Amino acid sequence: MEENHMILDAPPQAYLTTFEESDCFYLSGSPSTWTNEVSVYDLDTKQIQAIYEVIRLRELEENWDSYGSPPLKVETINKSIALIKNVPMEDLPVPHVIPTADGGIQFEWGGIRGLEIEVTQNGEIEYLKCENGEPVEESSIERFTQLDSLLRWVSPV
Amino acid sequence: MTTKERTLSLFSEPPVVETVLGVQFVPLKGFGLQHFGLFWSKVREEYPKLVSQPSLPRVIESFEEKFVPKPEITVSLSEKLPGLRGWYLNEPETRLIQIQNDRFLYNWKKVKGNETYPQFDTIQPEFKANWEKFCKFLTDEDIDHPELTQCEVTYVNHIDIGKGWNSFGEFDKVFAPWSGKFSGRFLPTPEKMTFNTTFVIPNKKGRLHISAMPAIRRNDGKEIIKVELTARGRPTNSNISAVLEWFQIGHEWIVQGFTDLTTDHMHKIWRRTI
Repeated sequence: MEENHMILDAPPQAYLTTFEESDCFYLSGSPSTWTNEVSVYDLDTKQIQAIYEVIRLRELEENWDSYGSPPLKVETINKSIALIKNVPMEDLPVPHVIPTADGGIQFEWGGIRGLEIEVTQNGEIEYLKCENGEPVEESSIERFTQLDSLLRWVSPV
Repeated sequence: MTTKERTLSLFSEPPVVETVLGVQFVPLKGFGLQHFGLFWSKVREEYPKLVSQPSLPRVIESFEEKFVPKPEITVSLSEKLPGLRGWYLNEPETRLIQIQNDRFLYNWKKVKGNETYPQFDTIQPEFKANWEKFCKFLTDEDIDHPELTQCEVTYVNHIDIGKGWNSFGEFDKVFAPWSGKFSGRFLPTPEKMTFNTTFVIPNKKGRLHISAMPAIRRNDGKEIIKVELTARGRPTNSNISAVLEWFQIGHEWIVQGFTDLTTDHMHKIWRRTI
């Protein structure tokens, strides 16, 4: 072993990103590659369905809602996919995936206790908790670890 | 090289979507933050976009320990530039130069999906030209010529569902070693499938790593199997001729390895000509 170097016994595929490192999220597989597939081996069918919905939004063009709304940025789509990959959906329905007028993507879970999570055009992630249709709490999400408690709020299927 | 001279397998419509040619070297002494920008001034006309990325870990193929076929990843604790890598992208974003203080990589990739693979014989001279430009830049900056430790060739292939196979129960239609038959009747059709495998290139010249995994392509939402092949090993010295010689070995192992791995059924779809 070379001095000053620590050997890690892990395959290169182990290199992946977290929410906080979303700039390089698309470096799937070998870290030297550049293509941007979404690996689905570890995802459940609900997550995959939500990711399909997000990718479908790439087709939106300028003024897609006839109110002058912009098309979605690739970064917004990538961050939304990263978000979905970190949302365990065993006890949740597939969220409604909705583009917002200001270039973001919103995920909505309805019910007595509802939850909206939005990836904004500038890359921030915000949430809104609702109860009986009334907003009860809104804030931003800084880390994926916050998702667990948020998702527990949502009424199970 | 003409088709007549070629001995490696050749496909008219190969599923390759990205290639990477690269070298790793002993961390450069004196290579600092300013050099990312200074090098950009040398290539900016052709590569007008510079993006910072986290650095890649060092990956060395080791043959000294028995029964340890996986590459070692070393994380330097003494680098002056921990975590910094420069991405220099051309305008249509089909070419990428990646630089960090112990790596130089050159990528080609499809963007629209209908581009023709330019072939190794086109990409390798492009690597050579850019590598020599980088080495001259280092010389001009009084930085020693890189002492190479590894060469690497990577090919990424997308095998689309619906083109020769329709479910993971038909894995045997794609991959030659997979029989598709269980010894009993208990298990149903697999929902998903993935594999990783490595092969030693004789005389300890390196290893070929192959991985296959289910994925979704982002630009069209298509379901695919992503098949990635990486050949990596140590060149005989740090000269460009040794690098190109190793690339030939790596390319041969990737092309012939991919051909061996996949079935005649798929070769017809990819229009194999040799």
